[in-house]
Amino acid sequence: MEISGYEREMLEGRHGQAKKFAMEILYKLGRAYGADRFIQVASAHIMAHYGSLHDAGLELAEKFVTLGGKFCIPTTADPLSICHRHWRELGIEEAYFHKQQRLERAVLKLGVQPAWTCTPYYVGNLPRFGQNVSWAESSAVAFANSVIGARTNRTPAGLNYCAAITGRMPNIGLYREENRNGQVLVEVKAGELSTLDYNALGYLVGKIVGNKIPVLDGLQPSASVDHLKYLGAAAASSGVVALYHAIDITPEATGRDPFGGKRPQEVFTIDRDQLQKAKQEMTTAQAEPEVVAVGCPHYSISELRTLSQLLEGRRIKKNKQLWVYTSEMTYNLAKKMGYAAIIEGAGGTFLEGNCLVISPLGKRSVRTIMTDSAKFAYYLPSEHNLKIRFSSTAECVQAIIED
Amino acid sequence: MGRIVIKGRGIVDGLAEGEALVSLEQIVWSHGVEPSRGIINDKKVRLHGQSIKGKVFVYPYGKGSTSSSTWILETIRCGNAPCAIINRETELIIATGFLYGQLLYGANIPVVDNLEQDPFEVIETGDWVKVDGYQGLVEIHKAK
Repeated sequence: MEISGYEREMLEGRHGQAKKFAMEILYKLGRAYGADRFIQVASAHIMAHYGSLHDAGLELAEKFVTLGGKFCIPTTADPLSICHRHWRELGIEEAYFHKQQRLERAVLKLGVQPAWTCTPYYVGNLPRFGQNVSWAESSAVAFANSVIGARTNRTPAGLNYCAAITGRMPNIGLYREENRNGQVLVEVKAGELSTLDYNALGYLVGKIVGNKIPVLDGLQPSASVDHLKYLGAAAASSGVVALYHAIDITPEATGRDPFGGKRPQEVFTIDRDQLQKAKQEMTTAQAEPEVVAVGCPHYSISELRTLSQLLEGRRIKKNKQLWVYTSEMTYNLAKKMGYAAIIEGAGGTFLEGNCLVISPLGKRSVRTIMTDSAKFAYYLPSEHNLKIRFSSTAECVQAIIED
Repeated sequence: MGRIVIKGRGIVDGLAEGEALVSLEQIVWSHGVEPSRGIINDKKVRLHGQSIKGKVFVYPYGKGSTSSSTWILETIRCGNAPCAIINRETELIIATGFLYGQLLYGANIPVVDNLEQDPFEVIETGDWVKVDGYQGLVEIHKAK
């Protein structure tokens, strides 16, 4: 593996111990995976949630602080495992909170932008087409590669710290042009798709293609950024989809052959019937939900607008709850737009900067969750032993408001 | 008692041997394995409830969130990790977890992938398997 002067200096420890430690990891991985050289990355998206990083991840972050590390490229971070405003009333244990606090302090010392969101592209971490970045968070990776056409691997949680500290990654996987071509064709024959359909479609695509790169044909021009966010998040949950192409929708499948001149290895069709079946498959409960949880991945400001319209003049039943997950920045925007007042006035709770999948339930007693997110539907049963009802945002709201 | 040696690609250094635990399904480490007990708690897979601790864990490839690497690292920190990993293809996410385990906690858990023969045709749960991560070699002693 070729290594430049500055990279060698980092590896030899001439730019501090943190860069040395990080380069050792990157160099070892680069050689194991047959990288020819390092590439520069323009931004990083790391994980700093104690719920997935555990003590080991905390010790890793603190090790970088002890070694004097600093992030040398713009670096955002995923949601935390607590909500700063609500953790105490939700019954999150003090000891857990302090572990999360330690982790938060460590990454702030390293220089993270505290956006605490799985949708960094909504709040300022936005690469250009073709740019190399180093992101974690499977849904954000799918978005960056597919929707923007930036380049990142599914960078492992801890490995991003190395990228953020050195500004380098080994030239492997999806950084290389030749590895970005579509491999299987998925013909979507279901006409116009709703937001829920995009979730179900992503879930099916992930299940069908596993770790192959799918090319979707048949998506309508009405596909929005939020729709594609759900499509990628779901496909990255049920499968290992880090990059998908959608003909005439995503940049690497617009004006060029997404298969790079090759024939698809396999061809699949997804029709309306299969989408319906997938939705039924994701619904594991017939019981009434106690809670509606939305915002996985984090709600955008336009989704908060839709939610506020559904809740305007309505009231959530006393024995029901609504949990809304978004970034702190989007929550602030929603406050300024008046959406937050409507949602909170109706009885909803914002858990900004937080995510249910990676957070303890605390003293919240809930058995059945209703959600408009395929990713929530996929992870919550194993993570929190919850039953799921998977429905559109409107149906979710309908299920918990007073008549 | 057959003895079979297969060459593959060494992803993470180390030498280990143990009883094989074979999953034909993909394994989700994040949210799918419980680090404090070394138990597979993903209800969607057949090995749900089984312990991976000390086993030569053989599965096709990892899937799920990018936090799998720290999930693995925590399993190592808790002393509940497998003794070796054999994949059809080892994702970067999996390799990172075990590589950090080596540098932070001195773990010696070899990871080998890309075997010249499909591991699922040769290795069954219960077989005794030696894994050499330096050379990328896997030696199988059939239980049956």
